[in-house]
Formats: sequence, structure tokens, C-alpha cells
Amino acid sequence: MSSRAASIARPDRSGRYLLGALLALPFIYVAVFYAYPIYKVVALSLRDYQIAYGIDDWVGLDNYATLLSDAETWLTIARTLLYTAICVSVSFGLGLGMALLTVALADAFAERYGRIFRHIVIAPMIFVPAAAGVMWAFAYTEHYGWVNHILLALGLPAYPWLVSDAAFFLVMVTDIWGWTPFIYLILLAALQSLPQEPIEAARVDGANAWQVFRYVTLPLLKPVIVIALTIKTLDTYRAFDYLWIMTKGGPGTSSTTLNLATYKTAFQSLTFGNASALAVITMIFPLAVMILLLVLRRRQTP
Amino acid sequence: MNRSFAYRASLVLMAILAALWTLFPFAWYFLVSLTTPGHIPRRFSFPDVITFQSYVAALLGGGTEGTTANVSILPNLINSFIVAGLTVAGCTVLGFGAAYVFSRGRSTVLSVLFNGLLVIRMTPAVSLAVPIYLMINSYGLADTHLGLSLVHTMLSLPLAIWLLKGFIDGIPTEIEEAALIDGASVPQTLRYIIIPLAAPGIAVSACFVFLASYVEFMFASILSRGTADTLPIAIAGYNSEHQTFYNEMAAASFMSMIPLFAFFYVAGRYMVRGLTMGAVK
Repeated sequence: MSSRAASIARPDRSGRYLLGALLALPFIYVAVFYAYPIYKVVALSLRDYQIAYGIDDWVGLDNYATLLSDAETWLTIARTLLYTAICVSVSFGLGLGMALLTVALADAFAERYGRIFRHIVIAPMIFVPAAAGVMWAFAYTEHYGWVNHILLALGLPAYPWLVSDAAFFLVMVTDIWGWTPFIYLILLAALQSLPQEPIEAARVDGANAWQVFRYVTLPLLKPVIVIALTIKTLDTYRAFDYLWIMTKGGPGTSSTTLNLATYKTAFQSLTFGNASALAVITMIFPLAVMILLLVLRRRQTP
Repeated sequence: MNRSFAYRASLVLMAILAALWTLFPFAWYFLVSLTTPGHIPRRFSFPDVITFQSYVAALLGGGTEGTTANVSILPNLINSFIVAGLTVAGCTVLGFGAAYVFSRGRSTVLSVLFNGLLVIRMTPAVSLAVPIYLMINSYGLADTHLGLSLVHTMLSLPLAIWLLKGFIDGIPTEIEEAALIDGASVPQTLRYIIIPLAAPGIAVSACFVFLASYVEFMFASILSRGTADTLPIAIAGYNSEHQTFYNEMAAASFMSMIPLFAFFYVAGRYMVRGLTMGAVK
């Protein structure tokens, strides 16, 4: 990359202006459709803005004070972090396991079987998330879903899963089902492009399969794992589709995460000021993660 | 390597379990989509007759009264394609030039700007929902294809620029240097050298941007009220509190995956690159 540094033959002046304009184009767009909304959401969070009642008053930090003194807000934050932690860790474990299994299958049988298995594993990815959401909601319905059909076949009574306390965790199952292929594909690509020499060397030296994995493969995979986990964590934190389609945050507020709380406050209660304050609170976590990453990166490359 | 029978058998067993986990949820749903509309078994059973009535009803509307929603998803499909098409056009036109500059230029400012694009990718979309809703409404663009695609373009622009830069990085600079030395202008270099050579990359980036828009749910749900409803909205709409036409919902769900399926043939091997915004190739 750096060997090509600035090796472009000098374009003339009008050419340089054109390149500058081309570079500016997306950033002007981003300023209008991203930076301005960010400014606007912070500004709105300081107002009591209820479009339906024609209320639009400056209230300072009142929205935040109300939210932060409400135990429900803290529960919502806790649910969001719990959802993220469980989905990311289980997806990662399953994804890594299936990626290793793919490599092992290709190795023990034939290349072809590894590829077939890969196609099977990534099947959830080629389903539109909204469709996967209604599919899973259907699976849990009391009379028609296969989950209860299994219970009935085992002689157990049917259970209204999505209107029970289990709902929140059942959405996590869907999330894990739908997004494990994401982690899987990234780890598989990394596994398949690993240099073989260190692994062979460790085997020759008498390391067993676990030792090879733990002391050779895993350290080699580490950079990719960090990337995959970062993207997956922030994506799971942003998760909206499955939760909204399967439970709408219910029953009660038992599966309401920060995203759903913001959405409901904005578009059901139509209290835009409150919703904006929630939206700002929602952005703290990703911001913290990104700052942390920047700090870590700077420390690595002094 | 241990290739004993027990080892191979345990691999196969694990593979079967993994396959059940990913495929089984589809199985029942698929059977329901092939059952006569209005008939959903209350226990495990295979349908007596395999029929495509639900697919026809979902696609064209109609069907036996009371067993189908009598709504066609065709307008929603068309909406989805228009919105996604506009989004692809927006992302490519806005992003290509910048991707080229990012690929060829060297400066701290450029790398800060380039990495800064990540922030957009990582921002919770719901956090932008209120201001964007107010903006799009105030422009009179609520419930229009253009309004939704303007938002989708913003969401996918970083992905497009990152992917395009990755592909332009792979084009040797010698060709365009020779062209510039021979007196070609920047627009000519772009038009006759970079764009043709980057065409496969443009196609791959277009695929990712298209699908990102095609499956997007949250903004589609707040910015449309009927006329511009995209396919995910229509599918989620089947799952109503009053009456759900499960057979048709299943049929529509399976039909909605066709573009994603097609994508695997076109750009499947670039999947990882797209998922990680080019961080892993």
C-alpha cells in the first residue's frame, strides 16, 4: 500500500479541483443527513416537544433528569446490555465452533463437504430479517407453532411463549440464529487463510489438537476476532427488527431495549423531546466503544 | 491427524445438529407456505395437498375469501426495488469519486475522514429516527420512494466508499500515470481507465447497498404510510393482532428471499469483505 504512496502523476489544477469536489460530495451529504440530525437530536433532547399537542418548550436537562430518576430507564439499559452480551457471546461461540467444524469436515472427508456445510450454516443470512422475525413469532404461537407441537408430541401442554416472561430470551434465540452466520463467515474466511506452517510445526513438536488451537490458531486469529466482535457488538446493540416484530418490547416492557424505548417514546407516545433524550443516552455506549478502540489502536502503533 | 471412525462420526453428528439448528425453523414454515390457505395444522403433520395457492395469493391478491389477506405484495416489491435502486445510484455516484481519492491520496486528513465514516455505520439508527422523521416530513417526502432512499443512501454510503476503495486499491497506478503523462485529464482517466477496471467492484458494492436497502426495516416503517411501504413492512404487516394469514405470510417470506439468493451467485465470495466493510478480505 505505502509503496504506492502519492505516486499519482500530478493532475493539473482543474483536475485537482475536480478530485477535491468528488471527495467533498459524500461529506456534504453526510453533513446534511447525519451530522445535522445528530445536532438536532441533541437540541430536541433539551425541549419538551410534543407534536400532537403543539407543545415545544425549552426545558433544559429536565428530560434527562426525568429519565434518569426513573427505574424503568435503568432496567431498559440493563436489558440492552444483557441482550448484547448474551447474543454476542453465544453467537461467537457457535460461530467459532461451526467454523472449526467446517474446516474439520473438509479435512476429514472432502473439500466439497465443507462447502456444503457452509451453505447450510449461512442459510439464515439469506432470509430477510423481517421475514425471519415473523417466522419465529409464528413458531412460538400457542396453537400453530412448531415449538408447541413438539411439546404436545411429548405430552406436555402448549405454552403462550411470546406473551410470557420468556419472550425476551426467545428473541435472543432468534437473534443468535440469524446472526451467528455473520461471525461464522468472518472466522471461517480467516481460518482458511491462516498460514499452515506454524500449525504443522506445532503438530510435529507433539502438540495435541487443543494445544494447537489454543496456542497457535487462536493467537493467529486474534486480529480478526477483535474486528468481528467489535462489529457484532455494536450491531447487536443497535438491534431493532427482531425485537420489534416479535414482541414490540412486550409483554409489558419486559423486552424493551433502549432502541425500542426510543422508538416507542417517539412514534407511539409522540413525545419527541423525551425520545431524543433517550436517543442521546443510547448513543453513549457505541461512542464509548469507539473511543476505547481509538485509544487502544494509538497505544499499539506509537 | 486423527481420522478414526469415532472422530469422523462425531464430526458428522455435530454437523447434523448444526444443520438442524439452522434449517429446522425453515422446514415447518415452508410446509405451511405449501398448505391450502386457511389450513394450519395444530400438530405435526404433512399437508394432504401441496399447493402454491398461498404464493399466488401473496403475489397477486385474491384467493378464497377469509383465507387470504387479499392483498398483493407486488406493489411493495416494486417499492423495494425502486428505493433500493435509487439508493444504489446515490451511493455509487456520491461514493465513487471519494473512494478514488481515498485510494490514491495520502494524508492524515484523508485517513481521519475515511475512518470517520465508520462512526455512521456504528450509530444506532433509532437515535437518528426523530430528527430524520421531522426532516423528511418537512421536505414533504414522507411516504415517497425518494425520501426513504435519501436515508438509506446515508446509511450505506460508508459501506459503499469502503468497499469501492478496496477494489480501486487493487488497480495498479501505472496505467493512470501513463494516461496522465500522455495528457489525459482527470475526468478522462476516471471515465476510460478507473471506472471500467473498477466495474466488478462497483457491481459488488451495488449488490451490498441494494440488499442493505432491500431488508431495512426501521426507517421504512416510520417513513412510509401505505403507498411507499417496502417488502419488509408488508411481510411484518401480515403478523397482525387481529387475524394473521399464516400461509400467505410464509409464502411472501420465502419469495422475499429471492434477491438475496441471487446475490450469492453474483457476489457470494465478497460476502466477508462486505460484512466487515473491507476490514477482512
